[in-house]
Amino acid sequence: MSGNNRKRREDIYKGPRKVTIKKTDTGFGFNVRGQVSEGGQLKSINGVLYAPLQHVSAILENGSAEMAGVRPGDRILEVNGENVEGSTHRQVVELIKAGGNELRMTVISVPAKDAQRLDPDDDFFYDYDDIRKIEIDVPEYEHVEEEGSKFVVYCIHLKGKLVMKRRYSEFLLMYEELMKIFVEFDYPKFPSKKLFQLSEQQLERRRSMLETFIQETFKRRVIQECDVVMDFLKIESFDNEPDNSEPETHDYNADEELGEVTKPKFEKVEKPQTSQSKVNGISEQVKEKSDDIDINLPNQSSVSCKKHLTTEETLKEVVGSLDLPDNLLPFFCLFVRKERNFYCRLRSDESLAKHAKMASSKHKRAHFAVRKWIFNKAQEKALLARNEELLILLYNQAVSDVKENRIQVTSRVASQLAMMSSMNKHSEYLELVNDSPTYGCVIFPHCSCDSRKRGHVIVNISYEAFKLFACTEDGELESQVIEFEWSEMKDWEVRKSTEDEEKISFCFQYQRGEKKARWVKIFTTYEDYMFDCFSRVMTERKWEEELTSNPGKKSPDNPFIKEGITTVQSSNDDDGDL
Amino acid sequence: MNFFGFGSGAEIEILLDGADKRKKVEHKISENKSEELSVYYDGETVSGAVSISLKPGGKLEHKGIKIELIGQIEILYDRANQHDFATLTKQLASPGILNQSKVYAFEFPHVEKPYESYFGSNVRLRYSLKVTVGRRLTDLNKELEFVVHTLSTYPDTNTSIKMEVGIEDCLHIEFEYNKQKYHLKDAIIGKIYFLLVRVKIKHMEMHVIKRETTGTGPSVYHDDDTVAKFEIMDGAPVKGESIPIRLFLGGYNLTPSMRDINRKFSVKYFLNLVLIDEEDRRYFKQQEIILWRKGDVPRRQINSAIEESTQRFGA
Repeated sequence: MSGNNRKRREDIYKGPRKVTIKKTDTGFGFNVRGQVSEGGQLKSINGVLYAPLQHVSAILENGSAEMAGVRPGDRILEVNGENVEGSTHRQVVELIKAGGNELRMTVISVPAKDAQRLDPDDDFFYDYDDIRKIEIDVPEYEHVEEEGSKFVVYCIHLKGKLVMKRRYSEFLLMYEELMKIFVEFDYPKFPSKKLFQLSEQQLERRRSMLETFIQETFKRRVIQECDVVMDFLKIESFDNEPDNSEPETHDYNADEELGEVTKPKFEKVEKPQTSQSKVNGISEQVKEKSDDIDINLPNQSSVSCKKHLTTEETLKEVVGSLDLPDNLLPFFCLFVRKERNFYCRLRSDESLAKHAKMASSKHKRAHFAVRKWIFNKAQEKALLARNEELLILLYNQAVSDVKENRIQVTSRVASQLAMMSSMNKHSEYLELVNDSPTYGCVIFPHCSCDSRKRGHVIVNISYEAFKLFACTEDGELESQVIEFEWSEMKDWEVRKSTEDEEKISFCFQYQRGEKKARWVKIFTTYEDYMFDCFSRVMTERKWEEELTSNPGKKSPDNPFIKEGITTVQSSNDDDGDL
Repeated sequence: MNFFGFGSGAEIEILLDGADKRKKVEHKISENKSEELSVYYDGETVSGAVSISLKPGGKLEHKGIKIELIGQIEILYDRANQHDFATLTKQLASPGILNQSKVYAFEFPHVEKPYESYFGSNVRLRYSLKVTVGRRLTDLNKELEFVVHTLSTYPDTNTSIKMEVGIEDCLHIEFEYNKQKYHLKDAIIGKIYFLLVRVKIKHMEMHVIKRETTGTGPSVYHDDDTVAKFEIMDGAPVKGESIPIRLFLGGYNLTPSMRDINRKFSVKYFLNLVLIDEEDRRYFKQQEIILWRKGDVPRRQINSAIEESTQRFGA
């Protein structure tokens, strides 16, 4: 035959080769996947016809199989001397087990494109739990005008870099194509079509849903590798380039599933990366190898702090840069963004590094922000009247909250707000948004509750009441709402899991009239934050009471002010101004 | 056959390497004609030579000579819809002038041939090599069709089909066929057992039906064709009687079952058991079977394959 003189190591992978794998404490270090039935159509691998073959679906990093030279996608021809062409999955697994601690296999490697051709999709199910983490998100959208028509495109980022901009109809088409191929996959919710033009709020909602959709869907390896997805993102492959944008290297956790695929050994030279990502209009510069973290401030800028500080120290530093007078310090706290648009307050002794690490293990960046920490709206107004610096801070937070649906407004109000915002009418904006029933509320992500056998609840804490909104287990609102007045609350606490109680919960006890006091358990992941909010409202109520009953003699740690009084002169007159 | 207008005088011929050693089959190329064509399998290299012969003293000016390997699916009723699922091209000569007869060698290495050649009533799948000599006014073409067979392997013992069917209070039968998957030269061995007979049966037949399904979604079209028909019982059976079935498939013109080929068409086979009574009423039970083509490719020795590949690629 024609002499092929190139002695590249890859060439020996073109034909079958023998490998010997010894069992270690991590097993053999590979997964097998393939057809359930026996026999089938013969297909060619590098010009030779083979019956359907089981293949290696995953390799454990530094495991025994990898060391022996087995690569993901390798087809298995023989196991311990026995030919397994056309074998069922079970037969191959049994043969492997029968060999005990040693495994001799004959394998043949195939390029990724051939691998798709060789696995027909009718004889076995796609392994949707085989997850290969990719850092993909849709952080923003843009209005474009092309040839006279205006539409919106959503920017898709991979590993922090923009890869593609697609409009909703293209997302929808991709989704429909995927449904034809991966028929039985349980797709996450896809944003619905709308007949009319969408408001900014609706667009933001849609962007968020699209982001969640592709994050949940594209993390499955089988879906990632299909043509529809590759074409949609217009990429050749999800290059396993080492991620230079994350300062923290990914900690290899021994508890992780064996499904993790290692980065392929033979790959192109990595290009050095600096990435910039835009989130919520506040741009963050991602640095390499730093131990700083960035915190978003309500004045639309961000500040860098050392990671190893506690919340309290960081807060002091950060608030200092805002030039806030000391009396306003108690009304601002550090929050970290969890889930979809939900900010969780950090306690003063918490370390930021912990959250940064948690986020980086999910290939995301932790978003910290300074936000207001006050429930009493009247007091907020009073403080606003006194301190002008507060206006811009509260305004920016309100704009961001409206945009991301933390404050829910009707579309009429939304358009009015948009108008005020464009004209920079800050105080008018705040006045209008104050009327919204969800202003000044902390709304928690839905969770289960012991008073509901089926379905979830959404907890809404505001100065006026503690509300439980009934919803489905997917978070869709139902009609029931239960309101508790703060005066009815007798006790509240966080219960950690013990032998009797399986889950951590936030519990509160209420009493209505002469009835017996009852405890309610809420199984939320944010039990500490819920506890803090609850306590804060109770504390603010105490402060307010103190002010009304004893205006002259308020306790030193009561930061509330009485409206209308400019000097701290004690007066026994009842101003009735609060 | 080489009818070129205006006396260009050039004759094109495509010759396949190893054609005399290669297996050939009789394959329909048009409604009335069959030809003996070479058989290729998936992954095999398709190579050969293109010979262009000129009349003595003649010359041929051309804009380039190329050869294409085309795999196409043609759906007859759908606007003569032709879909090429595989196209490989090799340039044989760049624009120039030929003064004498010339032979060009070509090779398409390890060509993927995922589907079997099929000549059906509404849909055709075929592979061909096509040579095109580009010219100013009209191109010269020559085409050579070849056949692709897809081979499969299934274990000898697969589960039998056994079912009890009938009409309430009239007729109950239990039928059994020895396999679900049969190769093209196989025999269907089975039996029919009568559990309840309250009708007067005249005779019983067995049909092999080929169903060709074209189109997807709303425009699906089935074409049923009875490929084989024979009588397995004559006369009235009684309760408790068992009738054997022995149907040799080799005698019929069958193709392997094809499922959703390139999402364009399917070919399925059914065994139809038909009972006819004295009043010419027909009772039937249809059952799908899978037909496959057995490879006469010898069981490969893996060890020699490894040796060969290490030699070839020089580890």
